[in-house]
Amino acid sequence: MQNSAYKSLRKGYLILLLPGLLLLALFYVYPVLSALYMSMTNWDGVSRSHDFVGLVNYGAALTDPRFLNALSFTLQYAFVSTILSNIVALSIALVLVKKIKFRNFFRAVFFFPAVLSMLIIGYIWQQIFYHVVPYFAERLNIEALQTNMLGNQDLAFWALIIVTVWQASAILVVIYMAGLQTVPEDVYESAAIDGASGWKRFSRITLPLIVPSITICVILAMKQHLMVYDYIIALTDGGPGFATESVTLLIYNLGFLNNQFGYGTAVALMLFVFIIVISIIQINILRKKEVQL
Amino acid sequence: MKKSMYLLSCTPFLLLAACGENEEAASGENGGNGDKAVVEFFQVKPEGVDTFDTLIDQFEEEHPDIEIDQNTVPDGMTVLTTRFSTGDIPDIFITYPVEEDYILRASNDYLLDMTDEEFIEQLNPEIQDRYLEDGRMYGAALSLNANGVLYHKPTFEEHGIDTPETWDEFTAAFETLDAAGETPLIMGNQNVDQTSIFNLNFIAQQFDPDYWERFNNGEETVTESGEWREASEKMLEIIQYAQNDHMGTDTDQANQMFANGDGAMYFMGAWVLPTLRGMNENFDEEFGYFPFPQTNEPEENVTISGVDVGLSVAADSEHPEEALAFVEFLIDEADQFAEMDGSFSAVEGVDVQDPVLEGLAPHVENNQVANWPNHYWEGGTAAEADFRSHSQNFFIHEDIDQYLNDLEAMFESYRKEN
Repeated sequence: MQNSAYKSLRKGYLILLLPGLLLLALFYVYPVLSALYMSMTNWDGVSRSHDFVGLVNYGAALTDPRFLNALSFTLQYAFVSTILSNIVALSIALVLVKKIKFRNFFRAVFFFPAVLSMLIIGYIWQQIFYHVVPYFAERLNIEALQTNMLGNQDLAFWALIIVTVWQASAILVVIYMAGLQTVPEDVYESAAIDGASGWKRFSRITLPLIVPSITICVILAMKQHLMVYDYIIALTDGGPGFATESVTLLIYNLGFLNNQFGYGTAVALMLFVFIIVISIIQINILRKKEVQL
Repeated sequence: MKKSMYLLSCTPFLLLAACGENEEAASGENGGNGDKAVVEFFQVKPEGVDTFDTLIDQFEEEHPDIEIDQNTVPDGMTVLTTRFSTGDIPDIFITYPVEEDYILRASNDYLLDMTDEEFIEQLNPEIQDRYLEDGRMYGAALSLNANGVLYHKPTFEEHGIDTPETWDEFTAAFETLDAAGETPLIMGNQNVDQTSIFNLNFIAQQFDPDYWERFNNGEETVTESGEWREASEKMLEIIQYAQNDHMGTDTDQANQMFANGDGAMYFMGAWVLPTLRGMNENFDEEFGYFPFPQTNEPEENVTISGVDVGLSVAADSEHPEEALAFVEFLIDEADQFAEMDGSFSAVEGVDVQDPVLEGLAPHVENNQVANWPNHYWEGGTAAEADFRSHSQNFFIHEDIDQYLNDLEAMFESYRKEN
């Protein structure tokens, strides 16, 4: 009796699941599978026919200096900007949860970059790098910064990092603020009684208790930065030379400029796998650091 | 006679239309527009929107049953490629001849064969023949762009410099201006486009189409070639006269500086003229063009001139006759188009009307013109994009051997693909 009620309940669940599953299959599973197939062809994006070539595209990517260059740029960029944007965001959040004057005003100010459109940010920062930075560098006699950072192969990387950290921190600040507010006051009180203060209080109490926030922020930031495209289009277009060509920009160029749709898809799938692997590693490391009160 | 020919040429399309009828009725596509044939004209020249709008109005007045829908989007060529990939091909669109994109589209039967249309005969064969692909033409050239040296007349007069006709006079002019404390040259090298607009002048002068055929077959090399080296040396010689931080200046900033008269010369194609005119209302009086003097023999120097507006019609178009009628109309009205667009016309007997562009007219009239060399390259647009990035590297490091090696590897990689 009970068993059959359970069975019909399960049936009901399955029926309710179906629309979602269908949508997932149609808009997610099918495109991924067809991309997997496309990546094993030599389709140029225009021809009416294409040949199946197996894993040739994947092998070609691994020996393609342009892909390796883009991959190494993307990894450096993602690591540096993830670390910096999290440090910056956490520092700002620590200040903004304190009872300071104009707290709400500052919260709004630091969230501001998050709501600006990427294109506007691109234009603003291009002007800053062209006019403002060299202007001050000349007065301060810093030779390296007297010309546009975006036109310099070594500095363009850091120019991108500055803009990225500036914008990406905004959202992270909100997450960290939420995380910091979940740390109960009484834990701090008992820590104070035990004589902890300053750095010790932060590293022994605050940090372990906000690890869930850190996990989210690091994974979100890393994923976003591994797929960096908009900042680069808005600021350097991959230049000077190939100095700031990211993997996503390369995928775009291969598919839409080079007429190498199959190859581009293969590179895209490799990036996809890459992001999954990095995310799993991050989750595993950070999970172990989490503590329960 | 004419009418019957017209009808005859339509027959295959009528048949095609008959085949597609069921589908159309099912989708109810004709519902909203009454009996008008709506023809999409996808064009990639944002500065030409007003010109085309004017001409489209005239055309629609003559043909009340046709509606031309002009469509311009940013980064149009890429959008066009994606629309080919997805099979959503516009009725009429801009295509450049010789380029790999064109050949690929033609060989996949995406383009309507225009070889036997009457309007083709009105076009300058020197230019129109670039559209030949296996003996057939799948596009019609309407106008030409041209690439030369823009100069600021007051600065030239102040230092007593005449427009140079030879390489030696050219470098002497730079030297004089530099010694006088002027900024001899404005470059916007942060955008990769500027690099090829400059560099290709030398490449175009050194090599003819036959060379590129041998080159594409792997019979010529970059690194072993004296011509490539000489061209690179000349590039470096000129680039030292560019303004400070030319690597950090983008095209918009360079345009602005040049229109303000902050520099004496600027390498740019004629498409920039409308933009510069918008920045300086006395532009036509203060600025002029002269052809790029690559060598010391004025007769050997060439101006790069490629098809700027060339029109193709989709083979699968639902309204091919209407589309062709519009192409024919544009060619008939080439006088108007040339005047509004300020470009050289590919239609015979139509003279350049633009006061600044006139400076390049002697070369164009003498047929001292070369097509954009990158149009002959294997790899097409992609190879051009790579060439630009390598050139940008070259301007930074000024290392000729590295540059030639990079180019060799790049060209080789595109040869392998085919």
